[in-house]
Amino acid sequence: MSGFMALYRKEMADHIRSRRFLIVLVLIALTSYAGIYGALTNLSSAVAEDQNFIFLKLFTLSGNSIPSFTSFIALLGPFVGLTLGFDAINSERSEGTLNRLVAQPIHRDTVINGKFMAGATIIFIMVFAMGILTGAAGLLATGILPQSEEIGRLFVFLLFTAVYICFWLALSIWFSVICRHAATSAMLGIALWIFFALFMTLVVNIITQFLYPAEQMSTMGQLVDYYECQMGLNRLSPYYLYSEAVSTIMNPSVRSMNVILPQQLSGAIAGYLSLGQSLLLVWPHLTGLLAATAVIFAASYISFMRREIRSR
Amino acid sequence: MKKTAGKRWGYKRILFSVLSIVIILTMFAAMIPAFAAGGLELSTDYPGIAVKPGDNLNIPIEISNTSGMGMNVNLELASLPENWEGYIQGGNFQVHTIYVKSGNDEASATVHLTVPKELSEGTYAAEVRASGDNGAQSNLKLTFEVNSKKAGAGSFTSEYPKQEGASGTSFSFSTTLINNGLTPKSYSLSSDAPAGWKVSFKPSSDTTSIAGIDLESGESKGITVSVDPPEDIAAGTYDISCSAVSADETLKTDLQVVITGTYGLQVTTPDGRLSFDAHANKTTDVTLNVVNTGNVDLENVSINSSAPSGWTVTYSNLENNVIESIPAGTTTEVIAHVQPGKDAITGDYIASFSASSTETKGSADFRVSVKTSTLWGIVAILIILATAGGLGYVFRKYGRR
Repeated sequence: MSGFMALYRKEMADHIRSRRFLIVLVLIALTSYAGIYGALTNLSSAVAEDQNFIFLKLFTLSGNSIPSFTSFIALLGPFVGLTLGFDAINSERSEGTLNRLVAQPIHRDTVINGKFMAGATIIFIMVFAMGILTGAAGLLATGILPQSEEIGRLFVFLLFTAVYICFWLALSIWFSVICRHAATSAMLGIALWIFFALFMTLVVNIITQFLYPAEQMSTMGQLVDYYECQMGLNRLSPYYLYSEAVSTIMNPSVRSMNVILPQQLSGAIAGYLSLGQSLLLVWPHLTGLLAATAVIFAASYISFMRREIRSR
Repeated sequence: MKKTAGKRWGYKRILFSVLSIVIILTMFAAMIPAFAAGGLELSTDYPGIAVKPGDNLNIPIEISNTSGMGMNVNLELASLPENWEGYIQGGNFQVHTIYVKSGNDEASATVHLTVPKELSEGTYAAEVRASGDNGAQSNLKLTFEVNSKKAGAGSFTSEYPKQEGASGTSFSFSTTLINNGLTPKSYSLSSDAPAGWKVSFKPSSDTTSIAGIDLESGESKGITVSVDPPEDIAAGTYDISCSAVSADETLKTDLQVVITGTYGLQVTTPDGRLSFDAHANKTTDVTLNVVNTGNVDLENVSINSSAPSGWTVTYSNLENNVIESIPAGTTTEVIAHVQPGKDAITGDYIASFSASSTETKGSADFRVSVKTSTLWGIVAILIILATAGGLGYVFRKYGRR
């Protein structure tokens, strides 16, 4: 265990002192403040429409040409994870430090555990620091105190964000295990990131249109099936899963993320869900993200343990 | 000397002449009053009248002058019964002299008399005297009869003795109590209203409730009788007899109150809360209180609900969703089993329950918060634990080599 702690501390120190981390931090900070700035420009008109949960609007409102804070994070979060993990193993291997490392009196799995845990810790610290800082900036700009429910929702949102970025960290560590060159694993990670963020919905549209051709759609039931299939496929994307969960958490008036039929809305009153009810709606998303992270980390763990480590 | 004698004769003649003139004048003077006594006449249409104690009498009198020339006539009340007061009015003034023209034009005046409040039976007389400048005189005797039987009993009457209103109305009757007796009387006021009714007597100009009232002889007083029926009074006609009792007489006035029927139904819950939580596809019991707020029993009250589509609402202990009878003012408890549809989404819905009879209707809107079952949250935690367990298995199988 002492070996794990030593490695963990060393990895943390390496991350924090690296120029790469600094660049990522600056990028995230800039986009966060851009998102808050965009929200502030539109806040007064949005508050005139609905005066509840003003503090949350700081994070969910988009400006005239600037996306909202939450959509910025959904898009750029994977980049943070990828940056922190894409060369975790293969750079050690190419620099020849890996066999020196495993020659130390530590267990072999401590290497990959320590690298993942250090990355995850950095991500949690970064996400929460960034969330609290932007919240404070919003507080300064608006002067509106958040309610306890809003603080709770913000906390859950940051937790989701950290788990989401950890998923990408696990994925990039896996790529760094299976790819010999750091550039390859980085390319692989970036390709998946762009695919999930931009092309997944297009591909899903093509697939669902193939499965449910428009000319054969005749009943309401088929239409519902079509939408449900489309939604189910989209939810395979962690980007989509995260966005859906965040929009539910940060917007208390969202009551359902599934297809809503008119009869479900008969007699419904516009109202806000409590935080507990919103959480119950997004439990599957959190479970899915955590499970995906665990599965991918397990995959990278197994492949790392089975890999032969030789000196060059 | 001759001159003196002549003068002496002349003196005698003058004396005679003067004496004759005096005699003639005296004769004339004696003749004029005799003529004038027939020239003044004081009269009234009804010189004998019956009066009651405390009356204020205005008796018109007329004076005619047939002496052939107008004159001032002194008018006075020559005699009045003891304690009676009076004066004579002419025009806008209290007068003691009146000018009466000669001829057919009569002068008129009014005698004002105040009858004392206490008086014994009998006949009283008053006299009005008119005396002219020339000594002409006329007397008018007025007689007043005071009789306790004619004065009669007091009266206790109401202007609108029958009034109608819904239950909860306060009725107010304006009554007048008059003491027609010859003596002041003390009346005690009471009513025979049924238990639960509130009847109070108030002087019409005051807000103090009174139990009795003193009235002078001949005095009348307005009394407002306030009648407050009990809250839960049934519809119908109610007679209330109010009486004013003095030592020697009992005056009654019969008041009638008609309570009209009011119908009211109210749907509420025992604690008044109009919201409840429910889960999709699970039955939640809601206790409804159906209250008959009217004063008439309601028959065949049907309970209906309008819930979102796909929801089912059933009631226990009700056949065909009908309550056979709800007596006036009572509450009937109905337990509704509300089952939201299986695809109800999380959040608030509105469901309304109504109770209706042929006469009236009442309803209540409920805010139903559909909650997500925590079961799936627990399942999610189990999945996370299973994943962690899988990870631990991977650690044990492949780690520590």
